Amino acid sequence: MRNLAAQMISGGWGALAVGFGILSRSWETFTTFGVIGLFFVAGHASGVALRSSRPGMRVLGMAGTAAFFGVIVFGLVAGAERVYLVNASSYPTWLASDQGPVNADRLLANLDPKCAGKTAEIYEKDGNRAVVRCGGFSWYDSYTYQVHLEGHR
Amino acid sequence: MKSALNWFVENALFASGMVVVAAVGASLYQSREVDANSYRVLTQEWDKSGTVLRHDLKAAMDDGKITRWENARLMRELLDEQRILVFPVAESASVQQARTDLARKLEESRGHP
Repeated sequence: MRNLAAQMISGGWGALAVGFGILSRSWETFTTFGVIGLFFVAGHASGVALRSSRPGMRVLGMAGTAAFFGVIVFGLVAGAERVYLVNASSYPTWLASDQGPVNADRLLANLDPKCAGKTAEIYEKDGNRAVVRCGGFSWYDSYTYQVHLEGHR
Repeated sequence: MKSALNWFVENALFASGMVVVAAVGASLYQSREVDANSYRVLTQEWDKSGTVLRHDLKAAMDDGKITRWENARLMRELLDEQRILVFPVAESASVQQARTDLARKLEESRGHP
């Protein structure tokens, strides 16, 4: 048997994709796990290419490895931002545009027009501030802004 | 042909085996009957359900029971239709009793869409 590591990666993710796809009866679940699996297969292939005797392959391997770890770091940073948004008592002002004072009782009625028709999450922070995130889960796929609550208890 | 088979055995048999084992395991699990609580959810939501969902639920009960595979689709349709689903606190009622309750509900609605 050859390429055991590659087989374990592709087989493992393939099994997760097929297994959870059937359990949830969802092509979306199957595709999500499949794409994650392809990402790890590509990362492994890049690592193998790094050790190639052909210079061109080594360059491709370096580019692939850099992209692989870039995506990993990006995911970790996006995850950390999400944890901070949900749990911390403050939020970095440079990550959210400041829309100034808003009456606390009118916050829901006066959401930014960019949030129209989208789901929104509101997190109250210290100093009578609130951070509003709409249209997505993470910072990069959503619109995030902060307001200063007036008349807040 | 032989070289292709050799290549598959050497390079892809193990990975393919993992996928096949997962597919067979998940399929066996999904072919089992749902638990009593799932029957109770379907029973309690029947009166609020639309015609498409009622049709699909009746079709799923054609063989006298609902499998986990059928239930996955029914739950998604229920959620799409009603947006909010209430899952009752699990009771110790038997699957047989819960299945009978749902069958009775379907029987009562005979002649209605």
